[in-house]
Amino acid sequence: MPQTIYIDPVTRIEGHAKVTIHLDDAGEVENAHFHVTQVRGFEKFVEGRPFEEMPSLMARICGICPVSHLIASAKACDALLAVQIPRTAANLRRIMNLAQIAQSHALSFFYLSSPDLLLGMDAEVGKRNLFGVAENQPQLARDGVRLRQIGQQIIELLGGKRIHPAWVVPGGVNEPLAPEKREMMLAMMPEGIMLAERTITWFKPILEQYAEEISAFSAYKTLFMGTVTPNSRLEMYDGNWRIVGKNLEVVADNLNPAKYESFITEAVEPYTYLKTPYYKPLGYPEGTYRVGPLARLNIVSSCGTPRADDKLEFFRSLDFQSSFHYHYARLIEILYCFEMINQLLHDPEIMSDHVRAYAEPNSREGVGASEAPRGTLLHHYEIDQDGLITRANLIIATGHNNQAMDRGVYEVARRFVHGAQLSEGMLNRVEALVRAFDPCLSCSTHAVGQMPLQIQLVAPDGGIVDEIKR
Amino acid sequence: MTMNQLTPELAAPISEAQQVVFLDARMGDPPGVVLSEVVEETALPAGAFTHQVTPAALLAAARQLYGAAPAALLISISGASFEYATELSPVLQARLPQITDQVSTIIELFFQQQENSPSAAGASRLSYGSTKEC
Repeated sequence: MPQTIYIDPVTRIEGHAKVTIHLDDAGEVENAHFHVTQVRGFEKFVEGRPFEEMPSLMARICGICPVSHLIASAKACDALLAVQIPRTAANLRRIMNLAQIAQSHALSFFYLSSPDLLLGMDAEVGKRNLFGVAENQPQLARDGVRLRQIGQQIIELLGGKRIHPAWVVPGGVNEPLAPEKREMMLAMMPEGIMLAERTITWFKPILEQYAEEISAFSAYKTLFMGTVTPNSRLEMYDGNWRIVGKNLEVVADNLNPAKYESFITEAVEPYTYLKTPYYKPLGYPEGTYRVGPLARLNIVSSCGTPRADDKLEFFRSLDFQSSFHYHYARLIEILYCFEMINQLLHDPEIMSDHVRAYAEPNSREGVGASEAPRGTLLHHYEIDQDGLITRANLIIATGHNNQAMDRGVYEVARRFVHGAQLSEGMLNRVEALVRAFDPCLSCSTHAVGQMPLQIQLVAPDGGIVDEIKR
Repeated sequence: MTMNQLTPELAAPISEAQQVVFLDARMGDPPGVVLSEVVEETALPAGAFTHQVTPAALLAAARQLYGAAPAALLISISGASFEYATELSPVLQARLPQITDQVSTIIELFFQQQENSPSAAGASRLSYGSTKEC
């Protein structure tokens, strides 16, 4: 009987990871870990580059959420210039960010997680993918494809292309919004809102089928962190951070992202290339927090758009500690994104041609933070007198969730994996925990190092017994 | 349409097209070899990786989701180098005019055959291009 089970690779996530589950002699789960097995090195190889290149370089971290990095990077560069960008530029960036979040959430929910949610965690492996969903419920698959398309089309209309658009620049954006593009985006909003609401309506009763998983995904409790407006509403582009505790009590508020080093630091674990940020005053691992859709909706009083706020009411009745409810939170955020884009496009000032502030570098250090699909994202740059990068530090959304994923994997494995009778469904539930976070592992691994891929069967005494690959 | 990778949302525009040509790089042959094959619509794939959607899977998805899938051709050109770069390798840069001509000819023949005999698409798998080095 194997004493360590490997799930390698974890499927239907962005990036590369594996899970090891260590069994005791009785075949019960003794421990489990989530290992991020890829290395990117962006923080190191940008050293020496002109800071103006950073948004374009940093967008290449990821092909799914490049806009998130574009925006955080551009904001860090705004700080190096020490400029306040025009309000129109901020709102245009905001629209692109919201579109990015909507399309990324659509990918996560429909392409990666809906196979489990629709077909069941124990469904045949070969069917547990988007194409299996398409066979079973074509309308659901079409809705997911269309939601993703709408988000991507908005990004393309604004930035000229869907992936790695070059339109967001230090000081603002490259060009103002053309009237015909505004009309095209507005025309898509009713459909986007309708599809988001239809999906929420479909998904709500599905939750009843997953009571056990919801409970297991709630076993590891954490703080939550995210950006809020001054009146405690959802905010994706700019603002101070709030941290709430395990019972949603406010632990810290009005935290300035530019001062992040005073209240956040990172731990390094030997079994993964992904660093683990935590809230310094509470130490590690007590200061572990989650970010992303579940966290954002937990820390705010309201979304600030009517339909999303209507759905928030049901969300408040759910177990707020269960990572399973990232899915429902993600759908509410898709709805919020389209409602907010609609609002912003109706602001007359969105058509202003004043969209960029120009300056030379006026600061040697700049921090830019925003909300990415997976949570709070931060870029921190230092430059020399010639404007060349001397240091870059990125705290990636997925990184904030590292400890929660790692311990969550353990808790779920403990509940569902029993060595005497292994099943695909058991292991899929462990994967589903990771998938609920929608991790973007290509973004989050940026430390320089080696990249071994080890698949080992490890006995309780630490000896290597065998190699197994799933 | 230029894409970094094939994704499921391409099924929608594909379903509305009369023909679709996929153009991609390929490894394994001397640089500049142009190959083409008709893409057969298959059953929806059993793979779990949505990152690795194939042309055949897209055709199947187009049929499954939108009720239509066009005739499709895959043209691949063997590359010289797949290292990080901002331009084509010198060897392919030098051969670009011939490669472009050959690809254009292949596409023209494909469209002509579709006009003349749409049902023959599945039988004429190797009738365009060949292992012809540019």
